[in-house]
Amino acid sequence: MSYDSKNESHPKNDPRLDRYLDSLERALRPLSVSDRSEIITEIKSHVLSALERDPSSPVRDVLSALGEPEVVANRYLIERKVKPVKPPVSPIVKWLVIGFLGTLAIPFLFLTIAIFRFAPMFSWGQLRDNGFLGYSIEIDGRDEKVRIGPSRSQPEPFSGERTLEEGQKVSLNLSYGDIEIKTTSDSEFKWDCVLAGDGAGPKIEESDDGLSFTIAPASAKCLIQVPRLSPLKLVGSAGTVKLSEPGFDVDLSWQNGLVKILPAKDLTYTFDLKVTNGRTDEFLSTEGGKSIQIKVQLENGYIEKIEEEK
Amino acid sequence: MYGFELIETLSEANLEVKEGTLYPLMNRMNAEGLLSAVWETDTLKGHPRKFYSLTRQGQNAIQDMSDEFDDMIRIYRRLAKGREEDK
Repeated sequence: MSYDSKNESHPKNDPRLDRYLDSLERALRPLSVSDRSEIITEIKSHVLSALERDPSSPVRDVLSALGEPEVVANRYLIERKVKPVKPPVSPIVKWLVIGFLGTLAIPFLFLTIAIFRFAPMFSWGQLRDNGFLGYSIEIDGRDEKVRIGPSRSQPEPFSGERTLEEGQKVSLNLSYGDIEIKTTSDSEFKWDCVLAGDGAGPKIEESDDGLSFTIAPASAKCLIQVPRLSPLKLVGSAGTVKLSEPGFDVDLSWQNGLVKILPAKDLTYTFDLKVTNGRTDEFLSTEGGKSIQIKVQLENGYIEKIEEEK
Repeated sequence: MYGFELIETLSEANLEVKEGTLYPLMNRMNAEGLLSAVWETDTLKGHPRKFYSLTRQGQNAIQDMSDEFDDMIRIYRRLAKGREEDK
């Protein structure tokens, strides 16, 4: 079969063939112009011969039998020991890669948001001295505690003191904490605290009867010093309370935690210790008018006797 | 013989060679002097065709390969015969 040269459907004028030959020529760029021209003419000759032999065969099929122009060009380059050009990534592969990476990115993004929204991811301890990355990571070197989570406002340590009349009561109300209570020889009630988390500072109310000191609902780490002979009432929910050589009556009501008691060697005590769901060490009570009353009611925990200051 | 004709001849002999492989190979053999190529434009109707023919160097190369092949066949036959006798 022969083609009419004026007929636009002649395969010589097929735009797909032109595009193929253009792509082939681009991919053969490392070769000389004459070499490129010869290869293009030969490939075109092949396509026309194939179409001449089977006119019903579409140009597209003949071209796909040849292979991608970049692949054909690379074979020419390899045969001539010229470094082949990198074949372009197929659009299907490109979109598959983009889709795959996008699918991975969405849960990763979601997870990142979730971590910083519902944190802390890890939290050991309640307090810290140093913060990094805007307090996303906080390290309490003293207590070997690390917290990783959303940034929080830097804690404001607070401390203060009040003078108490002899015999005035002290009432401490705490939510969670790590509290150490000591006896002072003077008449000042002193506190030195660091708040963990967002919480208000202490609420202090004074009355003729005594002084009420409240930290709630935040957790706190405090060193509290109580004047000798000022009865102390302490209420809290969880944590550790350490009574170091108390020189005053104590009425402690605590839940979920550890109560450490270090009796002073030069004082005598009467212990009234009640533990629900827990245990207590044995303490020696001395009956007598001048004994200091230590009353502890503990739910879920342990009352530990400390022999000497560590 | 021109490229398309060669592909058809190989295909009839059950030696399928992809067009995209054959033409670059012929191109190299031409560059190495094993083939000579001539473009025919006048004697045929339609588009130009590139006719390939073997050079003397190409014929010698075929003879060498043919001799090597015959040697291989002889060696294999000798080995096969030896195995038969062992049985």
